Amino acid sequence: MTSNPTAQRLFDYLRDAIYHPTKASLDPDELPEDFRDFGRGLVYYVQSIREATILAEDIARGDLNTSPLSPGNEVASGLKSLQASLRHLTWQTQQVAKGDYQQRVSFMGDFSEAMNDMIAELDAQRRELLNEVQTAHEESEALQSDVSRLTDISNQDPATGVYNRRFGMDVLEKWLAARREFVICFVDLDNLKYVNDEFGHAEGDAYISLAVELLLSFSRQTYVCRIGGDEFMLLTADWPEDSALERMAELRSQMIALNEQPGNLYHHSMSFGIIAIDASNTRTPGELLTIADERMYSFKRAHKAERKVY
Amino acid sequence: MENVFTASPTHNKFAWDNLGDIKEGRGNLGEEMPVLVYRLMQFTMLDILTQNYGPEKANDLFRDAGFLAGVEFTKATLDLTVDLDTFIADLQKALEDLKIGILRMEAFDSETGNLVLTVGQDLDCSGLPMTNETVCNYDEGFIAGILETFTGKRYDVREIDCWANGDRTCRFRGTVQN
Repeated sequence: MTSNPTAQRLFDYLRDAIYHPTKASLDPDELPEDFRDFGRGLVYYVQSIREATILAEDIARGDLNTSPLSPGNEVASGLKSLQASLRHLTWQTQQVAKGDYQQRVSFMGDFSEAMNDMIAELDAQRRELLNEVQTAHEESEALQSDVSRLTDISNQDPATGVYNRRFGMDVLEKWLAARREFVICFVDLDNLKYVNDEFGHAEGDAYISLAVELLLSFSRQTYVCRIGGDEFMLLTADWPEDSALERMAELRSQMIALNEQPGNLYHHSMSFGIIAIDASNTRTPGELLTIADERMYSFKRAHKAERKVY
Repeated sequence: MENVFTASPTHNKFAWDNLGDIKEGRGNLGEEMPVLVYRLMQFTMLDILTQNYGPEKANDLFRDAGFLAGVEFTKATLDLTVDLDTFIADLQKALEDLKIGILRMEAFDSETGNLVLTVGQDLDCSGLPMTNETVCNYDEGFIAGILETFTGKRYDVREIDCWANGDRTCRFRGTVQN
């Protein structure tokens, strides 16, 4: 306590400013003239401190967009710099979150270094991850290629390159299950045993290759499968039986025409049996092949007289 | 007698090449000088312009000069083919390398192109005595020139906080003009 009322008034104001800021009030014009400028300065200082306190509380709450300061509040300038730094760091973090690792924080002491190190490390990890993804992608593609190659090999007849019996039977079963309309051509190469015995297996293989070449020309959508030494199965969808018979007869004629070439060693020919399947089919693959086989033998017997012996 | 070899453009029209070969021209003194000299030139020029044309016109002229500097600086020193994020990183580095100031982005609206940024320790006003006014008119033009050159959009850049206003941070708001 003091006996000087002006000193007491100023003391009370300062105490309220510290402990009861919302209550603190001082009218400098009520002070003796010598104290008025001092009083105005004190009010300005207390208001500046009050604004700085509000700004500090806003920052502590994470609210970085408030602007409670009066123009020229130098008391709060340090806090305002802090607010600016935090707003910049918020933007930096948003940039990193969206994948921008190019930005750098400057002149914020240890924090700059830590933030820049973190961004650089995240970028390095991202690049490493991308490399791993790329490597995994390449390995996956190589594996896929290997699988594809192995599948081709497992489906192929190694001597001729056409599909093998297993693949042909798979297709036959799938088409039957799907109730597709298609034609089975059962083909037997005539005289193969004779050619092998008389001219050796190399010539026999050449004879088979010739037959394969002709059968592959049946149509581009036809599956040509070698199901035995001299037996082939053709599976072709959407061909009527009559057209398939005509096409096979045409190919057989092309083969027989080779017999007229000079120096021909043996009679080229093939026999075939055809069966058409529609959606109402109830027969098994084995039954269908037996029918096609029987028709092939009927054909072979019917054309036996045409075959020459050299 | 006419000297055909010196028939070059006037220095009254700015061209980046006319800045000359400073390294060769200042072999002993070097390419750098104190910020004091920069401010000496800038504020004496502002004084004379204000005396002749009034403060508002003087500030406009400074803003226009800054805009020209921003355009020419961007065209001469920055890659305009990169994306915005890369451009900002490049710009931040260029401003630091040339000791123009510390650029810090605070907000960017990718839909409107509007932004808020600060330039710390800038050439014009950091450390100035407080005068309760924003003084970075040249910087306003400079930043507008940079943004307009890169984005192709017209920007209005205004200083919303200034060191000379007691803020210790010069904050600018750039608004795309329709």
